[in-house]
Amino acid sequence: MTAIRASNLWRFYDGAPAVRGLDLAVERGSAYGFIGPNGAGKSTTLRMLATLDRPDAGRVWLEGRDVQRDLRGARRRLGFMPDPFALYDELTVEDHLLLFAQTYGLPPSARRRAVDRAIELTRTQEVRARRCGALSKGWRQRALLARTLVHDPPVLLLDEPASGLDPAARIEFREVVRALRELGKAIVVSSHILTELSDFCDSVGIIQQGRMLVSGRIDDILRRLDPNEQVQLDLPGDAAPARALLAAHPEVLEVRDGLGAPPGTARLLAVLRGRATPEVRAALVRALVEGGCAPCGVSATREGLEDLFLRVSAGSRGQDVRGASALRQVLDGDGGADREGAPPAGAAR
Amino acid sequence: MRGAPGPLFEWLVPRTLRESNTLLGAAVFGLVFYGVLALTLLGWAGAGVRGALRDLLSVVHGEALVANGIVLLLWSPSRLAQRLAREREQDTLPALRLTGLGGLSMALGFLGSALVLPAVLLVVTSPVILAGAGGRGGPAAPLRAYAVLLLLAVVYHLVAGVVGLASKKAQNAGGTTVFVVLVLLGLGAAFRVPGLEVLGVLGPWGAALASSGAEQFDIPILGVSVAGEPVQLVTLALLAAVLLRALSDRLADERAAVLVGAPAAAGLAALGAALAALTYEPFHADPSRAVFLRLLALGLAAAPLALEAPARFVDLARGAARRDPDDPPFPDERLDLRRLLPGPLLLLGGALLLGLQLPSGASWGLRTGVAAAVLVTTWTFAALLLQAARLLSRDRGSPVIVVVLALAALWCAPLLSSAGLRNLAFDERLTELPRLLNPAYALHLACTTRPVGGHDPLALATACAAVHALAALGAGWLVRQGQRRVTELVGSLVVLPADAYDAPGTLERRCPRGHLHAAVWATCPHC
Repeated sequence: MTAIRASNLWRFYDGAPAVRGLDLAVERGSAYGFIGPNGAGKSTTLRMLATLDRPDAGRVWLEGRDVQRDLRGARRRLGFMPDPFALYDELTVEDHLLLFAQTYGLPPSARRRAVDRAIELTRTQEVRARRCGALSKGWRQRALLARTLVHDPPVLLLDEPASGLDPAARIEFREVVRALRELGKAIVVSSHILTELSDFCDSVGIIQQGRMLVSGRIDDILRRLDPNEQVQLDLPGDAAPARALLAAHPEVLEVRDGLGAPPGTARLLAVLRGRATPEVRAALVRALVEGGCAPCGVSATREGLEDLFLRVSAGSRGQDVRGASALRQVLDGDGGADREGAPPAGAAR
Repeated sequence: MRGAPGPLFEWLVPRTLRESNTLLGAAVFGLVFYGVLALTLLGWAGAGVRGALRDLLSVVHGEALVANGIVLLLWSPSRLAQRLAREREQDTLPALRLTGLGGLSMALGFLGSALVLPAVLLVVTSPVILAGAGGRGGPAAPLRAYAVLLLLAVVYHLVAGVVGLASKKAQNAGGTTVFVVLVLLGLGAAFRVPGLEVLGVLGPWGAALASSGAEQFDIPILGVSVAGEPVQLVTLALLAAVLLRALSDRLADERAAVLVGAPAAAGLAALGAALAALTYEPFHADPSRAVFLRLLALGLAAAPLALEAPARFVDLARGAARRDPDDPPFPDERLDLRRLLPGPLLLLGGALLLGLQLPSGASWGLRTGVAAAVLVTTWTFAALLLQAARLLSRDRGSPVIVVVLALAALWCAPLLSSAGLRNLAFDERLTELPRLLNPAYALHLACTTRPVGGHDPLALATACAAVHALAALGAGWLVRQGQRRVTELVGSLVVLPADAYDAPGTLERRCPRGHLHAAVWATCPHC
């Protein structure tokens, strides 16, 4: 069942569009990652989904009901964690949660239980008696997540929930989101850090300049955008001569530094123009050996989501990046003019 | 708390009551208050006038009234304004909105918590309040005075709430509220000016003076002088209801509001018009001045409605973008002429009510009719100009400010130019003409019976109405232009993946098949 759906959302600020014709659908029990650079329109979109901003055009349905037609009902069925944090600094975490349990209309007998449950889910037991104003950023974020969960909403909208967290806290946060997804909640998480989302999201949407560039299941996106295959080469000693040799090879599009090389070696990623067939791999190794840079390890990989995100966002800015034109085809193939029809006469200038 | 008006009230009020600051505040206040009282008693005992116990009780009643008045009308409202401004600044209001709380529930919660400390202080001073019953104002004096004070406190708190939510910074909210409250208190003090008794409803002075037996506080209603407190209580109750609506609407943030929103502005205008028309005293040999002042008050009362009635560009665009039959536009998303009807209707109703009380001679019927025409055309012109500005600019506040300043210039500059022409010894017939643009002067002309500069004043006032009617037509044309912009924008709000590089409405190229696209594309991306 679709928990939250948006159709053709538009939002203008001072006459300039912040979100342009955005579509979105998230099923129950799934997590949707909303990725884009700063200022792409992620927070604006989430605020519209959360009913805090009214879209200038377009509609949002929460569990099949138009949110603007049933504002209060919609608000009680969703949990929104904004960025930055809005907490009552003078209250303790527990009191803060109790206040919201009360204002959400939970009966007195259920309030304490709801607060305990939210605290347990977000692992904030050790700060429950501390004032929100005295909490560190990580704890504030968790307290805010606890507030978002206190009324047990079926839909969660989390705006940059892990920004500013240390690595350990990020890992814990991912676990919390996974647990929530398993509880059957529909989750929309925004971030400008893709790796943060690719671990626990089923689907992602890449937004830039207010417009959804690509949206769908991660596997589908990878298939549709036809990621480049690449050969990973581990080289003993200095990698500079090998880099030059690879860059000059006709099969190689681009050479990048790879991460995670074994000690004493350097790792290079040769992004290929075509497939990483055994013949191509052998040709690369031969070229390196002939150039006096024999590799100590060779394997074939594909571009990851992060690489694709960079490619997609570069293509949308009209930069001359390989794949930009293919991306445009993909985007046009997604719907666009065919789906919505030609622009109306009223749009003429 | 059983029967509490909403969960926020239920949460905030007991907490505020338990806070150490509340208890500390009550202790400090009690100490200072009873210290001053002790000094008064010592002075009274030392002066050897023990016989005048009623005078003493009147004095202590006055002291308690002043002390509670300062807390209830000045200190507590400014604290409420600061609190709401801080809630807005810290972005905690959206979190409360997301809980599904209604605006009224939030308003009552904040209002209730703000009134906790003043209520505790009332309890602290209650022995002295009760002692006031033995003063010169009579046994019912404290009841009358405190009923007015409490209702006035509610009104001032609600005003403070609106000011707090309109303030951009919490640190400014308190000062702005104090200024607004002082203006209200100043207006309330004008009740001693003959003809302006009705302004006494805005302040505590009339009731305070009456309760200490120092002065009568009467307000004329339909020519009959009645006790001021009942009129004030009824007026304040109505005002509180209207302002509660305004605060609720702003807290819910579901309606566009310049300051109080259209429904509350209509309420304020209706209340102002009723007071202006009903409190006319028909005892004047020449009623010109009294009628002029009331017509002017009528116009001022309807002014906020002109500010709030126009629809915003974004709302109209939203309404126009709703194309599904099951998604009809909301009322605030339609540019409906009915939005502009309450203003003229209120002005006509008020003028009619006033006209019915005027003497039958000296063409007062015709004069009131011309004055009503001046008011209606001026209001319509202003409202249409504001509507045009809100459609031609998508900004929320600045078009309103620009139009208000432009109108002020349009109406005031001719007075200066007229004075200039007179100084240059121009013909008196000529010097009168620029002043026609000023509606207040036109109202004065409609009410005076003496010829002005050789002209018939009624004819000049009629000319003013005609000028404003023509100007309203011009403003109507601007509104049509604004509507076209809305239509154009909405026409471009379609999902076109290829228009990513330009804002809709600014697309420059059109392919032979009619597709609009951004200039960044060499060929049409849709074809």
